[in-house]
Amino acid sequence: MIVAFASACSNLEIPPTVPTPDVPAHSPWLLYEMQGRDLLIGVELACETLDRVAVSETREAVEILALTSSPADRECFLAVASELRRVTLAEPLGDRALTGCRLEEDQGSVVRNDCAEIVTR
Amino acid sequence: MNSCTNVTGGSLDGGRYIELDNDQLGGCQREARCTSGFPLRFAATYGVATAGHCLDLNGANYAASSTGFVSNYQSRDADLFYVHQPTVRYASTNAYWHDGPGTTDDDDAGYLRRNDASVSYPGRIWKWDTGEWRNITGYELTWAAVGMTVCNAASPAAVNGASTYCGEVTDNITNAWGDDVGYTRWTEVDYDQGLYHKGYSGGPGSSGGTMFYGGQVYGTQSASDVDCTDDDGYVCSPAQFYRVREFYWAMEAVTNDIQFICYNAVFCGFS
Repeated sequence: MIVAFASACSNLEIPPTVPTPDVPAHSPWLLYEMQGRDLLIGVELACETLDRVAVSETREAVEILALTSSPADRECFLAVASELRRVTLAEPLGDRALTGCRLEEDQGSVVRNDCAEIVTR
Repeated sequence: MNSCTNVTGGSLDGGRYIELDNDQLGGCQREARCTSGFPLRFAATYGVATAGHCLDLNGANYAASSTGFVSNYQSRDADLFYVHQPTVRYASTNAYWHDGPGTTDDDDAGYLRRNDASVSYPGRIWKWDTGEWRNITGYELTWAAVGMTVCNAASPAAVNGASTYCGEVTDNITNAWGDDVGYTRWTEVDYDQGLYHKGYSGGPGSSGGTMFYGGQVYGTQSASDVDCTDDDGYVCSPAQFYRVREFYWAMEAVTNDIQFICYNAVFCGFS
């Protein structure tokens, strides 16, 4: 929007912009179990509703995104609960990295991996 | 599967991480999280307050018709926390959240009993922003006045980026959903007011954390508006906390043996 406004109102050369990927709202998740191609994850939700779990697989990594939506104008409690989901991969995870805002527990402390882009309340 | 190990020693404090294991899975799993409130004695047991809805998550296992509250206790690293295991938990009709939104008789009181007698209850709240204790000196009989400041201590393990958040009281209301009818059980606090914490409206995981100012306890964190996100041109709605007097009355439906605890493990009443 800003670029469009500047273009219309100025003769200054506007540098090309790189489109920002539109990352949908998603929530962090914990891996509870993994057996063969099947993963059991717990998606952490507060006010959000879990719409679906999106899985993208490459040879190097598996990205799991727990896509959520948040209805407007709603009061909600400030607890966080896990919603369980089973995910079936095309192939066993093997040596591939597991990404997509995964929470990991390290001696009681929860570590968030690659969650910087997460949309929070 | 992880395993829970009960430990001895340590203390029941406000502002700690509560990990709720509701037995969706076997073992000891992090299935929900909240924050601990103030210490209290309940039916000859000692424990810590939290939000009632924290004990009723995931369509859990907790009938509203049983008779009390129990929890185990665990400590890890610097952040003591409490693991709630429903297999040894009892509930009460009036002592925790059991009504739907918009009703006039909402309650949101919860209690986690210590598991080991060696665990102390010194009557204090851990302030994550300054890394110090806030000693509890009393519990508020009336509601916090509009315009006054109240704070919530939230554990970083329970709330991402947590600290001690303060805001201004904006209203006293009937229930967490803002309905202004009937008897007031809740107080609204606007964390944005005065730009204390712009963009904050009570972090997910802060439920149950003590609302306090100075050494005075006003209630426990409960709910907020889903729309609050960002600090750039975004308007946050107030969060709602459950008043401590209502907390007492809700639990009184179960037993008359209720004692709030102040600093140095001294019983103390409303003031």
